Amino acid sequence: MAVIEYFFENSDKILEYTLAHLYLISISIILSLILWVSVGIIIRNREKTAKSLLGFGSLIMSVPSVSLYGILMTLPAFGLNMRSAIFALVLYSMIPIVRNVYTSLNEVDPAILESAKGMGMTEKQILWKVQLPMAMPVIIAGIRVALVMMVGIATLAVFIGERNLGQLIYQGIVRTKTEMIVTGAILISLISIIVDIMMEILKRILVSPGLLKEDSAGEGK
Amino acid sequence: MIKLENLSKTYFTAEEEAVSDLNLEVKEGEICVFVGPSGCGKTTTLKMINRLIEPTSGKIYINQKDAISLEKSELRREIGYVIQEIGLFPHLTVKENVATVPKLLKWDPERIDKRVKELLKTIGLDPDNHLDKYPNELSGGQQQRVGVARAMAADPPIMLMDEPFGAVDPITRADLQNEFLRLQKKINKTICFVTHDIDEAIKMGDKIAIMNQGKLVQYDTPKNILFNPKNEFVEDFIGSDRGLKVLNLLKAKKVMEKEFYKADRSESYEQVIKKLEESKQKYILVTADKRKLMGYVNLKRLKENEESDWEKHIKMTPVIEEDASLKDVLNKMIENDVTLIPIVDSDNNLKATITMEIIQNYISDEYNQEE
Ligand SMILES: Nc1ncnc2c1ncn2[C@@H]1O[C@H](COP(=O)(O)OP(=O)(O)O)[C@@H](O)[C@H]1O
Ligand SMILES: [Mg+2]
Repeated sequence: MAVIEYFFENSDKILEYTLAHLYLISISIILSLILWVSVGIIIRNREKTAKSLLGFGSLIMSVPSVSLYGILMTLPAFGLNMRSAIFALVLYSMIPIVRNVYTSLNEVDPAILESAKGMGMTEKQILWKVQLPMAMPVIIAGIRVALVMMVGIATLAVFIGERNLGQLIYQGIVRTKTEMIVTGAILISLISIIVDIMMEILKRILVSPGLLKEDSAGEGK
Repeated sequence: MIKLENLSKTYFTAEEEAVSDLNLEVKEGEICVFVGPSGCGKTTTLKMINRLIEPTSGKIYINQKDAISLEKSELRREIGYVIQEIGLFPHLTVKENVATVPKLLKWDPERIDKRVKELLKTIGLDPDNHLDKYPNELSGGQQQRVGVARAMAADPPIMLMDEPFGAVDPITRADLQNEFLRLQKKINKTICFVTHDIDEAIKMGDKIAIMNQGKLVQYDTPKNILFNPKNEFVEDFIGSDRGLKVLNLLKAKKVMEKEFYKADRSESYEQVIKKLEESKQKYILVTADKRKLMGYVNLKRLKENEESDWEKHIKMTPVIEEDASLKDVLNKMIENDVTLIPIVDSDNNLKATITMEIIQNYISDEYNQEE
């Protein structure tokens, strides 16, 4: 009951936090998509570059987000700033997106590529009309992972001055107000679930039905 | 139409030549079959023709034009290409797959639509049911047909086919071969066809190029290959059952019988019995409307069940088309344990029959002539 009461009494603040949360994630995912999908495409035929880049990405992933925020904060170019938060989220989404783009483009059956080439498709046509559409299920799965991760890690950005749903949890803990913590937790979970549903819808739109059956049988990613 | 001149290929990673100083010419409208043991350079040769692989030395002329002088993707759009793995695009429908090259050539949508429908009919798939299916909803044989249709979509004068029927079961393979030969009579393409199966080579080829270790061993008609093998390698490759192999060369229509006993379902029980007794056979083929094949009835069964609605004893029979080889006919007879097979056209009209006995006579005649 206390939660509902709290929710209605502070609805303005909660709305502001929610919007801030969504704003941070939206900007970060858009930048990530532009950057990491392109990177994945560019390195698709460069095994060595791909290996070192993905190695670097895993390294980043192993740095706890709080430490990463801490490090960024001390850098003059970033500081206590939304830029730091965005930068961190974009870095963390590198692995799920780049890795999935890279591997799925390379997993396209060589026989399919050969017949595409044999019919006179150019490299570019093969990329856009064959490889990317065929890689789509795995790419979308990567984006989904990145997004869900972002929703969580964004909460920790309150340590570098972000005022989002993480604030509810942080303040709740400091002031030992359970209803604040619970409200924050529920809203964050809700965003995750909505993101998940949106990605499922996106998959239905972007992935050819000819691939979906195979997907459930074979890859299960 | 296609001329290979001193064509050689050495892969970077290999010491031996994969293809060595190949010279041959394929005439317009001919099927040239490249055959030989695995690794002898068939695929390499084929891929040099559409420049998926660049030759180390030598020349390829297509319609007197040096293939090197042509732009790669443009050259390939003029050459249909079918591979064993088919390589249909799984994310595209049958229609979109077949439309690939016409789209690259920027045909207008109406023309593409018409062409795709026409092609599906030609390869024996009903457009209404199959246009919007995805490859994973088709059987292996159907996928292979779509692969062939896709290669033919923009009506290229040349087709390259690398073991195109290699991945399907033997029965489907024979069907696909026969369909393709019938189609070729209409479309008259210049075709390079790769196989490792000498039976398929004899059946499909106007000319056969036998290769071994990158070299062309003999380039000749199937008949000459069978009866005048150039050396021991060719002899061994043909194998000892040459008589059976010859059957690949002969079409059913050459030996089929057009005069035979048949009954129509409009006839009475007595009429059918009378015909059966006249023919001195144990069974008789039955038609509907005097043309369409329904099956056969057995004399013993009819006599045991003296009834007026004799039609219900009609049984299904295997059938074959007149363009099938005698080897196909024999295979079908053995599979179905019968000694007579009716020959029908594509509309199931009963045309003729062929019997084991006729085939036997024919084999012994051939042997006596040649030896
Ligand atoms: N990409 C390649 N790189 C190196 N060697 C190859 C390559 N492709 C084929 N070869 C070699 O070239 C020879 C001929 O191969 P191929 O033309 O595929 O034979 P076939 O189609 O008759 O089985 C074989 O010895 C094979 O191992
Ligand atoms: Mg091969």
